[in-house]
Amino acid sequence: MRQRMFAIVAVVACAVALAACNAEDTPPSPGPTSSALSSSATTATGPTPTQTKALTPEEQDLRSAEEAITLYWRVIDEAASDPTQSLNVLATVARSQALAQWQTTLAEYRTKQWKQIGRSSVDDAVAVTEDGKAFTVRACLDVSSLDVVDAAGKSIVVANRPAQQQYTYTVEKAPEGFFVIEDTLKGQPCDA
Amino acid sequence: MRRVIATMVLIFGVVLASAATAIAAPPISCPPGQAPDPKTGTCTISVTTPPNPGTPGEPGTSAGRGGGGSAPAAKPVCRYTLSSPAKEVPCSSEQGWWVQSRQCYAKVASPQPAASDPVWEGRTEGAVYDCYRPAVGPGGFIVAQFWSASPPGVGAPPDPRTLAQQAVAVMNLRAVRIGMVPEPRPGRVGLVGLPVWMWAQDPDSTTWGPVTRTASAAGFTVTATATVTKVVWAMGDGEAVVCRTPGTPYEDRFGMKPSPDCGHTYVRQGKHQVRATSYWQVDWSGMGQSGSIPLSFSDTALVTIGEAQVLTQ
Repeated sequence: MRQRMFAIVAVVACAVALAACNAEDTPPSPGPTSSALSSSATTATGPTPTQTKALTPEEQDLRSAEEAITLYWRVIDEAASDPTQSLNVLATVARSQALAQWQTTLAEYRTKQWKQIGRSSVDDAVAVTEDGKAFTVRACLDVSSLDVVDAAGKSIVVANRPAQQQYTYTVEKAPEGFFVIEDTLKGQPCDA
Repeated sequence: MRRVIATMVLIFGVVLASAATAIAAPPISCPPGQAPDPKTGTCTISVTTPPNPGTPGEPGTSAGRGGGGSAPAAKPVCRYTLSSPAKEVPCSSEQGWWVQSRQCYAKVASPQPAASDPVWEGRTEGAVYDCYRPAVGPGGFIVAQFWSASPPGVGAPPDPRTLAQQAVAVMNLRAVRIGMVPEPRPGRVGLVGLPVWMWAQDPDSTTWGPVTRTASAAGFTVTATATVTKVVWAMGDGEAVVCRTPGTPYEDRFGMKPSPDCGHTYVRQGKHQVRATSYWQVDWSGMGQSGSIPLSFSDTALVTIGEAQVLTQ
């Protein structure tokens, strides 16, 4: 009897815990997006074999704009993790305000001898464009696996830092590639 | 049984409390001009997009804040807002001029990065600047680089190219006044096969140079000298004559001789629209830099060419 009660308690506790986690981690509800059509059509459970549709140049640009966000955070992460790395490296993925923003922020890290440990991850990037040159990309940034520590190795991350936030970026298509040109740091919940 | 229920209630309470904490965590609030850093949750300066960051009166400087356009210019105050606590810093130092939006001192990088360096952001104009950040403790300054179309920073020196253009503006440069024989006016007709003389009528400093002017701002001076390098005469018959001198004015004593330095011969009769385009080169220097500005000005004239008929009996 006692064992059954413990089992019930455990199940109920897990259910509540999962519900709480889901409340925060629920992915954005699927809706019509410009890039949804560009995704490769794959079917995991259907009877037909996996099919891949060739992307049009416009669809490929949307995909590249989305991938630019992943690359952007990878380079920022690396520069934040390695204080010896030149901040000029940010110019390979960012321009204009976004470049100035992260050069300034990471210079602040270095001034205060802060260093990143771990990596962020980008999920659910969705790009739209009106003119094929400037792309608005929304993406969820997950920083739950990264910490920022001071010279003594003590975390300086504030307690209420959101683990996941959705940010909106402007990505520019340039002859040299796709660059994030605006990153205003204005986040909102990923399931908003 | 009571212990079981108590344990259940305790676990429930802990789980609910943690869930509530996760959901109800207060949002991060930052002062104006700052935004939460996604990585740390701390407030970092929010960089806006001024086309040329660092001009006096930009957000964050005291100068120009809240004032009308007619208010006298206040002395700019430069603040290092990322330091703890924020502090006032000199608006210029050996490391350059304070750029409020980037929180660093900036000056032209020397040498400039290669044109292929991404720090140029794909641009070909402007310059790349070193960004020197005051550092905590010994360690001096931390350097990053950025591109800017013009010198950034509070109280930064003017762009020498802009000063050079201001110097050019007061030179009053213009096209040559067309001098020609046959004369380009009604009633005057030249002949096919006879030499045409072209020259710059009364060349002076404004139509041929050289002319030198100086422009100054904020204690910086640029000197520019303008000179015509050539005049291209489009003769209206498909031919173009390049003259590197003002030409020689025709006189009756020259008779049927061709111009020694700037002439042409028409092979078809008709009215020809002649366009003389003078090409200027403006060389400027100052503020440790130098450069060249190409300019061109045109003037036109209509010349009539006829054909001599020879009658034989």
